[in-house]
Amino acid sequence: MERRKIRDAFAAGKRPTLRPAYGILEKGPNCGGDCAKLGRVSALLMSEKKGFLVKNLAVLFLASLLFWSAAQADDYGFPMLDGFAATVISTPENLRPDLRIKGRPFRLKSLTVFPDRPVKPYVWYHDKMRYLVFPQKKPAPLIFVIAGTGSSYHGPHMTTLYQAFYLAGFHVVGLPSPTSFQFMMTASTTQAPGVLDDDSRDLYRAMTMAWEQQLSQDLEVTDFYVTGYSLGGAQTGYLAMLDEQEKVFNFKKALMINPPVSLYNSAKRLDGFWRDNVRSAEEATAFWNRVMGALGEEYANTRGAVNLGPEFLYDVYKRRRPDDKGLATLIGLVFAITAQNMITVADVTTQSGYIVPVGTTASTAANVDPYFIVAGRTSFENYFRDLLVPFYQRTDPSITSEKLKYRASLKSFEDYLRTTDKVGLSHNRDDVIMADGEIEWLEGVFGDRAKIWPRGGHCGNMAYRENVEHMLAFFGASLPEGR
Amino acid sequence: MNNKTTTRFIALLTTALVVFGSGCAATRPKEGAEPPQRTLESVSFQGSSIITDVSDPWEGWNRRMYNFNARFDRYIFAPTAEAYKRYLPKLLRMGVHNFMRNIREVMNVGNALLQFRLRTAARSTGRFVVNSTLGVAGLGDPATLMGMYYQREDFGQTLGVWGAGPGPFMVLPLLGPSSLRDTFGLGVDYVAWTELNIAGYGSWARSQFLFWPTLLYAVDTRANIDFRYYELGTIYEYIWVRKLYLEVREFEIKR
Repeated sequence: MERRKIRDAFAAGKRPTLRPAYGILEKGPNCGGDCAKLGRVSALLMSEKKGFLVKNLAVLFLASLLFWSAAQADDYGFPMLDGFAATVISTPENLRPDLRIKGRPFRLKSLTVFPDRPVKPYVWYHDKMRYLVFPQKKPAPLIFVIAGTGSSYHGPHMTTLYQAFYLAGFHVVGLPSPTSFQFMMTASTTQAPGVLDDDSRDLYRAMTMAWEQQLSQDLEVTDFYVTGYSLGGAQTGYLAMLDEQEKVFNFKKALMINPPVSLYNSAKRLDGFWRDNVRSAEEATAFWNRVMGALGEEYANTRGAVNLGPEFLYDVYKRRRPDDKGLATLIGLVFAITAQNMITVADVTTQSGYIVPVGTTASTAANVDPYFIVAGRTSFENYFRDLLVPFYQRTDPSITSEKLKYRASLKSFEDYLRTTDKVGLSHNRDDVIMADGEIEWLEGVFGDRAKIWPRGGHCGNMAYRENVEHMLAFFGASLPEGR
Repeated sequence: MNNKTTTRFIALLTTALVVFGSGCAATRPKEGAEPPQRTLESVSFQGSSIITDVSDPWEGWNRRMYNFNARFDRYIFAPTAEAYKRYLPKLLRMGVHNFMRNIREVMNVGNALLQFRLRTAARSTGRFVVNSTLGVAGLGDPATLMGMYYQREDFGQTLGVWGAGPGPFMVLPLLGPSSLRDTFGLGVDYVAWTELNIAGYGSWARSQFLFWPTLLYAVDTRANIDFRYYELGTIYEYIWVRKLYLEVREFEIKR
């Protein structure tokens, strides 16, 4: 409901109001305006006018009802940010568990998935698929962690997962998203990502090879688990199902964190955040200058080293109170940059002649501004319709756009998700990538295996203490004492 | 600006760029290739893009240099910095870091004065005095605890404060992204650094085996930069880095 309210206000071009009773920094149960009311009521109880007392008992009762309902709606301590703000800011430092790790106990590994695929000289740096391992020194369960759209094995959300699982005693293996530049070059069969089953199969192959060729040599593993966030969350579900057939890992449990239901719908929403708000080069320029201007001013006022992390963003947010339109545009821009890369790389590798002419000789020194601009103005929808569908039709002419959309959605393996007891879900009521009714659909499918948090936006609350504890508890683990 | 020096410097640079940058071409579509489905015209693009609309006349050279730096970083620089972080105790690394920053403080003071930023100059002076004494020759950083935070100033920033624009974008060998203004500033800073020879450090460092203090400075600097080449996740990394470098320099000039 909150999400709908925000979205409607957003559509009407108004700035939706945050619930006014709460300061955004306040956490935990908060009686807000009711406190004053309760105070007044108790003052009346003390007063001599007994007639008043009876009447006011009713008021007291109502007030306490109000208080309880407010407390109940709010026993989740994540800050009162709406979905857009939570997505951008994520979890403030003081609301995270202590996830610091001593030393640098990780290893960057590289894997050749396709030995016969030639390395393109101008992308020499993506010669192998790189993934990150946090090994334990003794026998331990191993968890694979799948990154979100466009992300490689690193990034803030990945870091949270590495640290939390490592501290909880897992070997942690982080893999890039099939939509990332490096995975597309080194581990993707089609090199045109966006179809859930094919992308997940690519992931499964890479995981199997990593295990058989490298990890099994130096890790002692008791059980296997898998998790992922955002698009990686959707792939996690598919991987669990695939593993039931392939039986390489026999995953004991899998947790999907903030997955889209339909990749196509979510991408379209994200696209809209940017393209519906910024309709011309002038508007794009104005938006960029506005963001850079604000960041520049904030930077000038900060003392010492500036860490562009949640603390800084939270601070900026509190001072400037950007409206949801601005925040949505920013989220859309980040997605558009991811899509810009994905579209270009897929176009060149599949030789589709969509943006870059077929047979173009690439060179390190070349100016590619025109491709940059055109790809930046190509939406995911365009990519899907004009590149992905025709590409799939090359091998199977009967494939339609509808069929591919279905294959890019959790609905394509709904039966498995409904019946398995291995796969759990952690999602947010106000996740900005979800279309109407999708959260409700997930609740129906997962039943009591679904944990829907009241807020947190898209992955904004992943590092929040309660979320980390819930995530680890799902895998039967917990953080060490005192964290 | 000192016009003579600038002119000579630019002349030298231009010659170098013409020599190295020649033969830089656009991408080469195959002869007679079909035009792509989507072109600038079909996306109704007029005007310019804020991200690509940057003065970069030496792009061919710059891109090659960017790529060279990336290779150097991947195979030599980053692994060295990683090993440094992995195997040296944090206390030692902090000592090195503080010492290097402290010895550079004189440049910060000088540039802050040239920018008429008296408060910054006073703070940097205070830091130098406190850290050189209480901090044992700059190995510790008690000044930060006392509220005097570190702020790097260089002559490129000073020129910026005086109103000079960045000029063309440049990628310097090993040093990375820069601009004509910042490259010139770097030269001025370097000359000042050599001439001032603070506490005899510069001449001492130059007389050491393999210039190891300078190499240590480089490794310390790299170890404190959270950036890896070609890990931004986009095939257009050069374009994004170019724009972001210029934006961040503007931030630093405003501060």
